[in-house]
Amino acid sequence: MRVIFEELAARELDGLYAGALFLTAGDAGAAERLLTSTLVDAASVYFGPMAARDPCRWLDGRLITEFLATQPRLADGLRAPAPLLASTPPAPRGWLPHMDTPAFCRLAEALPPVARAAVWLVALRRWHYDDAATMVGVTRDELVELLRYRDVLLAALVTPTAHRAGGNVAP
Amino acid sequence: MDCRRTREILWPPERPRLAADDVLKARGHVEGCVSCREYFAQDRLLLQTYDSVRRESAPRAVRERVLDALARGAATGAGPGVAEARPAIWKSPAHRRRAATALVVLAGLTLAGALARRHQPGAPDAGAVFVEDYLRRAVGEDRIVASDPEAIARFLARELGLVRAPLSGDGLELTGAEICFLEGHRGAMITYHKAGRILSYYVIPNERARARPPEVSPGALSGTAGGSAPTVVTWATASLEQALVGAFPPGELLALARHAALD
Repeated sequence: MRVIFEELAARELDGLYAGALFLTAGDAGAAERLLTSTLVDAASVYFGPMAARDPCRWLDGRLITEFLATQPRLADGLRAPAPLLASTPPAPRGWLPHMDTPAFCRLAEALPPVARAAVWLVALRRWHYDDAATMVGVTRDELVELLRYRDVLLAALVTPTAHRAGGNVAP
Repeated sequence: MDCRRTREILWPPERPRLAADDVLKARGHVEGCVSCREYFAQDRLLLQTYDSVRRESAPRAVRERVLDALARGAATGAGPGVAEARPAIWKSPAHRRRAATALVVLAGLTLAGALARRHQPGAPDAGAVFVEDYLRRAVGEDRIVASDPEAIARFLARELGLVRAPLSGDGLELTGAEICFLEGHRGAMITYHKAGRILSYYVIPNERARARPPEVSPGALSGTAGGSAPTVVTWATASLEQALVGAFPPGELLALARHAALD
């Protein structure tokens, strides 16, 4: 049965909003603007072949494209990793706190925007490396470097600041 | 086989893959590598955390604003950006009058719905969601023209799996139908002309619908013949929510609805 775009958008809106919040590091206003512009633009090209194959994944890609169009040059994000990651504590083992959406997404502020895009696509939306690299506009090697920021996100999840933002206290 | 290559080959770990040589080697590496085992364990935890986050609903106000922007964008054919949509909506005096009236009515119905819920805890405001769609279409241009009842019936069968003839009655001129989407349910809005006014007949398949007789939505009780405020009459048969929305006297729409409810 044919699915109209409005139906797809309404069905996927909650997940896309969570993605937009992550990409904007918890900025609700920016997330809503990003989500709105993504869906309005996507509606005009909905009947393309890529949308028909996997509409949810297609929307994820549209969100990333819209987000990266507003971000600083890619090279800025790629230059940052070494000093930041050198100071990152080891990623946690065995337990992560539960927290609400805004608290979780605010943790992404520790990541440069382009790294947020890479981590969101690969670690959270489970894209293959090659597809994610193409979407982010980097080489596979550059993507692997960006994915090191996953550890920064994990470390941020278990800091006392994260707990004050709404997470549970570690046992 | 190093850690980096292993993680690339086995990504994402939950996806089935053929046991090719590189996959077997990668899995062997994981079994003997503490770092890689921790990496994939952390990955599961992070994914669980995000999945619970992702299941949370977006705030209702955000959802309404985004879907409203989408509807306006669709109505005006606006491309990149949303701001360009608004000027096109207000280009016609008729559009402006209808939209202004519609906004006042929507505000009134929203308030009336809230008041009604205060006096009837748990009672759903069935009329408001239909008015929201009616209003959105009042400033839109997305219509399918068809005056043949059999064509409409085929449309309903094809798009919704619904075997149902469109409503008929004295003075009702069938003008078309289109798919609508209300509160997560896909349905159809069938449009008519009657005495120079537009009447919208909504049919929304919903497995959880419970049969109830036609009734005028509380917020629309003030609608009168010749007035600009739309009247909303809602009712349900087994698995089918229905509504009539239009600038008609409540009694007239109730009579039509009771006639339809017998079908």
